[in-house]
Amino acid sequence: MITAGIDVGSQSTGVVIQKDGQILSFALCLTGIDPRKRAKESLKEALEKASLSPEKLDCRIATGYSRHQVEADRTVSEISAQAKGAAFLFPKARGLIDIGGQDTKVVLLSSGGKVVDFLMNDKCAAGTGRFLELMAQVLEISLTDFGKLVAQAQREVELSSTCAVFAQSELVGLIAQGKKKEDLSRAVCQAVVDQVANMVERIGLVPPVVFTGGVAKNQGVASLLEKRLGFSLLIPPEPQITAALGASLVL
Amino acid sequence: MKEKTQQNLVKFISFLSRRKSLFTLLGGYEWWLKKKWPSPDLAQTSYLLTIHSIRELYQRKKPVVWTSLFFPSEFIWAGSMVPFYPEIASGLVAALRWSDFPLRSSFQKWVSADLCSYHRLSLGMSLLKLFPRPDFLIATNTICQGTVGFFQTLAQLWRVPFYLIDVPFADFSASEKYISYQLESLAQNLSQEWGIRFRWEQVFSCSNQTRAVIKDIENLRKQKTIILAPPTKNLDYLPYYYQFMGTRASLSFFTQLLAQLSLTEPSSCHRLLWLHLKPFYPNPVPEWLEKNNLGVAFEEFASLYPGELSSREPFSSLARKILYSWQLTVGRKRISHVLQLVQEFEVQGVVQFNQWGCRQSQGMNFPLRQALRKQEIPFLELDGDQIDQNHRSDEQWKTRIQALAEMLEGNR
Ligand SMILES: Nc1ncnc2c1ncn2[C@@H]1O[C@H](COP(=O)(O)OP(=O)(O)O)[C@@H](O)[C@H]1O
Ligand code: SF4
Repeated sequence: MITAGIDVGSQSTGVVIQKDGQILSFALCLTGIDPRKRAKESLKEALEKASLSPEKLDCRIATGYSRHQVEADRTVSEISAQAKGAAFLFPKARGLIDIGGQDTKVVLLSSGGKVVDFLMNDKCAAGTGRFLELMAQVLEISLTDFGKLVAQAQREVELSSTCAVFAQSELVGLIAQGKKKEDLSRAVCQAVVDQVANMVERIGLVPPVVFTGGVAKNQGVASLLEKRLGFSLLIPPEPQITAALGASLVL
Repeated sequence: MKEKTQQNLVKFISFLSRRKSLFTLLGGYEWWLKKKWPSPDLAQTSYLLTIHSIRELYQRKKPVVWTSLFFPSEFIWAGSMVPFYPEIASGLVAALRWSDFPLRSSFQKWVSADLCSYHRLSLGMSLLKLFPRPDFLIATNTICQGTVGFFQTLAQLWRVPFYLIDVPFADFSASEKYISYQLESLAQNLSQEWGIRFRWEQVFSCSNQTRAVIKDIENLRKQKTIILAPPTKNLDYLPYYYQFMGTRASLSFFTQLLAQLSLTEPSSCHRLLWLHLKPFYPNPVPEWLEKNNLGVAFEEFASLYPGELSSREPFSSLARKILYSWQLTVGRKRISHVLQLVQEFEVQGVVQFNQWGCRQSQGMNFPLRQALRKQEIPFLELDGDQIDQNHRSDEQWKTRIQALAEMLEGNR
């Protein structure tokens, strides 16, 4: 059976085409303001990469924030889709941390990869990818710089607010005080890590734990999170398509 | 509606609400409705009762007593007084999509936005003088301590006396006596100061009969295929469980509900236990539950005191009823009560709507979750506000509900 998983997130849209447990192709792009259109385009791209015509698809399963807005045969929540995708890539996984653009999810998995319990952040941007984006703007760095900068940080700096708006102005103040970009980058990543680690501890995740979502590409966050949790995390080669992969596997 | 227009409208309604004689006219309307609907259905019964209550509360022929949810209405009806539950009325205001204005009024008068919105809204409606004027207030400090401060503020706003019934949180054998003594003193006080005479017999008998009907409803709901639809609807009937207990209105309402429930089509949905209350403003949660094949088998707030009220020992039996609220407030009792409901109603999942700023609902989430996890029962928390729409987060609720359904589907 050939299926397509379509994950329409707040930031990125991912599509995975899968046949009997084999990934044939995937596509990834920014969601932008027209999720419907982006989902269509990504599906087309993924089908082309797999040299398949749309008729060959047995089922299209949508997930992600805008899952109800796109053309699909059925939908699945991001929680189940991420869990399925993570368990497929890492069958021994007992937990999952997903940090996306606007929400963070922590999922406790059974030995068979089923969802036992889950937690989502509340509706504010603290502890999410969006928070990192806003801080990167203030620091005038790109998201991919975080890893390098965090590795070079020397002095301990702490952000006192987790609210994105207050943290932005706090950061401006710290820059004015002459604090170094490296130290501030670590403070920003640490703020996210502390929030997420609290959620992990709350739900009681034990390793092996998979780390997915766009923020899993942020090496600054990944290394600090591993340090704070005291174990290493399993990061898929492309962490932004795990939900799409999981969706393609739900049938 | 434009702010100015709304303000003027509020002033006008507030002015009208103080013209007692105006509400006498509602008597005629009520009489006409009763003629029109000789055997009213559930919706018509509710409408008739609303009109009747508005008349009684604003006409003020009898003392109007504001009280808290866990103070038994039977005490008030037995003294021929009219109870008004501001927390219940707040839900009604929200259901009418009119919570913004009173919430804003309370904010303007320095009421913190972090306070429970049931209290904020009631304070706003009091500041606007839209809720019916109380003669005095009676409250218990269960199920939430916030009630005490709330009623103290109300007493100052309306300049009326406030009688507090202190409910100990520890399971002392003297607890019942302690509450019974307070109730008796209160009754004496009300007799002396307000000339109130208590006639327990009829009200208690009606309450006991109603409880028996509710028990039958519960027994029916314990059957695996019986689901009261749409999901969470039963929480709209809370006034009948609380405010009108001890009156014919509750008795006839539940008798009709029982009849209606006996005729429902069998359902094969996943059964949930619902903890705490729900958003009362129009919202899509019930629809999403239904779409995801989830039904509410029972609600924590529909758990009634199982004992009888006795006119031979009115104060002790009422004290026992008040103490039953421990099932909601004392951690150990609440958790074992929830586990018992899970078993009795054969539910597969538990949902709690975490009300913003409410310690009662969220204080014991951790041990509750642990206890449910041990039994492999998923526990879903929906965060938001049941009255104030500013704290709603529909997309998050939608995802969480769908994820719960998928978990249950996987566990089937
Ligand atoms: N190359 C990258 N390096 C570091 N962070 C990244 C990178 N790409 C994306 N991100 C982070 O990932 C977030 C988006 O995550 P994603 O999982 O795509 O979100 P969603 O599921 O909500 O669409 C961004 O807010 C950003 O912080
Ligand atoms: S919702 Fe919670 S805080 Fe508000 S009145 Fe009820 S118990 Fe008290």
